[in-house]
Amino acid sequence: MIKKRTLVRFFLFLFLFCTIFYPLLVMVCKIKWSDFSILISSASFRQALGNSFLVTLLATFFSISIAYLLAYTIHHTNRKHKEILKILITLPMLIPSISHGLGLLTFMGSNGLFSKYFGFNIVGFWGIVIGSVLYTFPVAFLILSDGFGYIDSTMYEVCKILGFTKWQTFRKVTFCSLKKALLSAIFAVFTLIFTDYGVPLAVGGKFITLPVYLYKEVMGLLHFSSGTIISLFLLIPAFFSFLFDIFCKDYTTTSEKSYSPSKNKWRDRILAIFTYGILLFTFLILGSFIYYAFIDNIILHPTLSFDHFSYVLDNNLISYLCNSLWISFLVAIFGTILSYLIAYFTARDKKHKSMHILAISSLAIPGMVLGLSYTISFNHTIFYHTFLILVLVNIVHFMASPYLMAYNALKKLDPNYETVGKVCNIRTFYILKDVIIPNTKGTIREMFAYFFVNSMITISAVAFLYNTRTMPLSLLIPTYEGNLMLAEAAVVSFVILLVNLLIKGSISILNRKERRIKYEK
Amino acid sequence: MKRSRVGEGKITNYFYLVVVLFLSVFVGTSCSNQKNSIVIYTSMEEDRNQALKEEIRKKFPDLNIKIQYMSTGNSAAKIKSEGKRIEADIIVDLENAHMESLKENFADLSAFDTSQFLEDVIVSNTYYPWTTYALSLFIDKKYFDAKGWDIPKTYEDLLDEKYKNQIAMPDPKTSGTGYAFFLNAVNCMGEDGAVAYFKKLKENLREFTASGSGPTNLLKQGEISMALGMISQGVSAINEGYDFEIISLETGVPYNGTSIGIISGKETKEHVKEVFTWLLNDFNKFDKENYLPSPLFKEQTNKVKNYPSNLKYADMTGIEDSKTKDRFMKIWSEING
Amino acid sequence: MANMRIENLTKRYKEKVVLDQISFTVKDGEFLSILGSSGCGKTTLLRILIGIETCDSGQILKDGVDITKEDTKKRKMGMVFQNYALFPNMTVLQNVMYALYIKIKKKEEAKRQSMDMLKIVGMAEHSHKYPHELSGGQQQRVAIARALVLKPEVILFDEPMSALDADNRLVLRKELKQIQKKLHTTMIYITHDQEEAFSLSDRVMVMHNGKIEQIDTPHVVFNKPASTYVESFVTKHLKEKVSSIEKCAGIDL
Repeated sequence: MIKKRTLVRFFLFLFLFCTIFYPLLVMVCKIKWSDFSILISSASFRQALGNSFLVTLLATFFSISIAYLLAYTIHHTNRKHKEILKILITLPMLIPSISHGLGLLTFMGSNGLFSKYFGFNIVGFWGIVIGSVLYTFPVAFLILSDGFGYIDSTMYEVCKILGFTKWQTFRKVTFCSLKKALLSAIFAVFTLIFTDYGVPLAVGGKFITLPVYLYKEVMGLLHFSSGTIISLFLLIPAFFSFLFDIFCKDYTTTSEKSYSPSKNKWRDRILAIFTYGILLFTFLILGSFIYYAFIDNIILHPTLSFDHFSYVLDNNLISYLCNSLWISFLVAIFGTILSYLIAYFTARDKKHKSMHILAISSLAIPGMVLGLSYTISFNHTIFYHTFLILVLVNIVHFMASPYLMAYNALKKLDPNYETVGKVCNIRTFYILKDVIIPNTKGTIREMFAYFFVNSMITISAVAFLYNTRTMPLSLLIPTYEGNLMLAEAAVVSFVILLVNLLIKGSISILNRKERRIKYEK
Repeated sequence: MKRSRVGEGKITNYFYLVVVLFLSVFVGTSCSNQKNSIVIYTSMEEDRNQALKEEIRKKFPDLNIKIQYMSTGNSAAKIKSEGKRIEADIIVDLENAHMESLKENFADLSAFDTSQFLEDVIVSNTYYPWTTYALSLFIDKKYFDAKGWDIPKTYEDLLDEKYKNQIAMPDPKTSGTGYAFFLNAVNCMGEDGAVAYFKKLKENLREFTASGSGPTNLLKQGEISMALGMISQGVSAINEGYDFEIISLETGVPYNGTSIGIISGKETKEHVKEVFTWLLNDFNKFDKENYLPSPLFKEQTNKVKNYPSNLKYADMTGIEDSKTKDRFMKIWSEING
Repeated sequence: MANMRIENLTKRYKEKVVLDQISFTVKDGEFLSILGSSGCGKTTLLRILIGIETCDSGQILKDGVDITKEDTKKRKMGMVFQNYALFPNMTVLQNVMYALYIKIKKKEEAKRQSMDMLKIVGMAEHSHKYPHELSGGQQQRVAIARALVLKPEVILFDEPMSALDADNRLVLRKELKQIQKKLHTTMIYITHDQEEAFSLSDRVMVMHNGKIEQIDTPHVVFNKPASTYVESFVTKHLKEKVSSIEKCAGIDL
């Protein structure tokens, strides 16, 4: 059994190495370093770099602030219907970022449903900022919400007894306990926005950011070498966030007692208005985009019509959808198995720091860079034109979060199960099958949902790797966007949203049912 | 003890079996598909691709033909990185400069019958002409009338402050259309002049769109009031009912060309010759007569309503040359990167 | 049941010597308590005895056989943990019969033996319940049943009652003593609770800083402490407890 374990560990380590580091290494080796000086000296590259930082800093600030206030509303106020609010807040995560950008265009472009009456146009810098906030605040919300759940509520009682002011309490308890979650959220959001090209492509206008610059270098001018160099720049914020994740110490403790918010009507009312305001804005943007799918022609004949649906259907919607479903299911199944196994070794066995680092290193690599590295490293291999490479790139791209979910869940379990197994002469395999896995079913389902939903919406990693047979549905959106067929792009986004709602919804319902059964027992 | 060991061995065996099956399904499906189907990459606009899909279905109902839209840049990038291993068999509507720089990936087409074509249009034996598309400025007449604006007649007119965020043009980096405008400007104003001009024009531009049809589509959306794009698209929009006007600039009509070719090695694949012959002569003509009038064939009638006749062509020296393109793209990076 | 002989067991963690030449014996069917404050090395000793940690030098002999380098599963020992480590997704019965069923592959036989064991620990009527429906004391009884059902030759207890309240501890102590008398299994019991050690054991082994201070019957350790540490940690503490009970109850014990 020991030998088998070592074999499994070795295989997992090898897998991670071959799919994460090897392609990056090959890509970097093929750089023509003369291109480096050409790129740096180009004024427009420097401008794109500066633009990226500017837009990302501002959007991150807004995104985190909104997410914080939302998380605070959910955990520290006396609002009703918190479960529903939580679901609504995370709904924007079910469609690609480019769809948010296109939604913004339809709502607040020059001829937007809203902006045309007020004569303004969001395209450009502010379009990118708002679009980026729209699709990242749910991510930040989830991280911060999780963080709020770990604050020891007895500390608040202590502060009350000691006579601290609200501000002192906030500083000494809330802010301190949330530090890691806050920094985690900031880095995650910064990386997401810095490396995204969906929103700037849709609503950026002539405000060029680094990912769009990269896209045009590779897709327009076929400059793979400078594309790789730009990728290195895109890795910078991700690299820092990943380092932070490894070295940051966690000072939180778990508290059995749940927090009961104090009674404060005004605070509750103001935060409620804020929350509903944010939700309203988000759904108006999404709504106006989906609206386009059902309208014949916004300019010439704005009548209800399903022509755009039939157009997309005639153009192989079903086969692209099948491709996406096939890829997403495979990614979800194999991704969950792989990340769970890796987490099992790193969480329950203390000698695997290197595997832990490798597993979360995919956090540091933007999808576009990963896709490009796979194109450069694997384009002469047999599986390049198959589904396998798309499944592989998605698993690697999205592995870090599910891995961490599994890691945290496995760490929480009693550390003595394996010892019981050893003492009672039960093989680790059976302990895993009969004890560990059944007690982490909820987490496994969440991991599955995460892999599935993100595979359905991803564009960046697969943009370089697909071909006619394997093209996933999500890639239809930038295709239609390029031809400014907004209605068709809306149809595709709508279909993706429905599929994701179905899967995420069923899993959430299953998990809630299980939780209820447990409490009833 | 033995039993559990055997039981576990069985499970491991099943696992390996599943992995092997899984891999073979992946590799298998793609390989088998490759043999039976013909893949065509096209960079044409949606309406022309739709027509292609319909006509090809009628002509070859028994063949499994996959038509994939791929922007010019995307198509060229794939050919460059995958070479002759690319899944595509036939490439349609790829910009001539790309065709020229990637020509070692294309098959010799001398065996195909080109008697229907006009005298001077065939310039290479690895790619044959698909379009010569003319470009122009279009304006939203309704918008201009409402604003009481005068109609611009030269490139310089477009620099007027009142047009801020009202204009869009394709990005020369990713679009042959955009590149054609840029090249023409260089030919008219010289390199330094053109750089200075576009730097100023950038102020008035809403964006540099990735695709050639981007500006026209933005115009149709009502997002802008002036677009630099293909005349055929402008005409098609007018015929749909949009209140646009095609403006002939004083410096003439810029143009660019695209071609069709077969990936080297694929010409011997079953049915490829058949399909290519039909594309080269029959659909090519159909496309030119109904969508994009460009003089290619000896017997060709223009069935596109309102398409302007007697176009005065602009100075497009160097448009076919890939080395010129490389040099000009370096110059372009000073303007917009 | 089995007897054990531990000879010159030494364990170091980096610079610190956790176990320093520990030598002692455990007789067949004996209940030996290892008593000491936190950090004295008793838990490390337990883990080395069960085989989940290795020693740097020394020998462990069970019934004369050297098991120092032997795999845990081959040592035929049982273990009961401080936090019970019951499997939350299995019922009481399933928890107890799980390992047995994997061993003998006969479901009905495993069930029968498990129910018998549950009767001995007084948990037979709760066999269908899940761990989270039981109190701490009940869970620990199930853990004991789970360890006993495999008929180990030696059972090790790692501070099994620290998580329980005083009442439960008293009741469980009594029952554990009865179980031991009935089954005659050799038991090695780790605790920091002086009362517990003295009330349960045939012999008490007091540890301090990785060394054995004294190993003898409770009576001898109480009346003739071998060192100042034993005197202050054990004798003095128990005497103070007795006198405070006298004061509170107003009686002379």
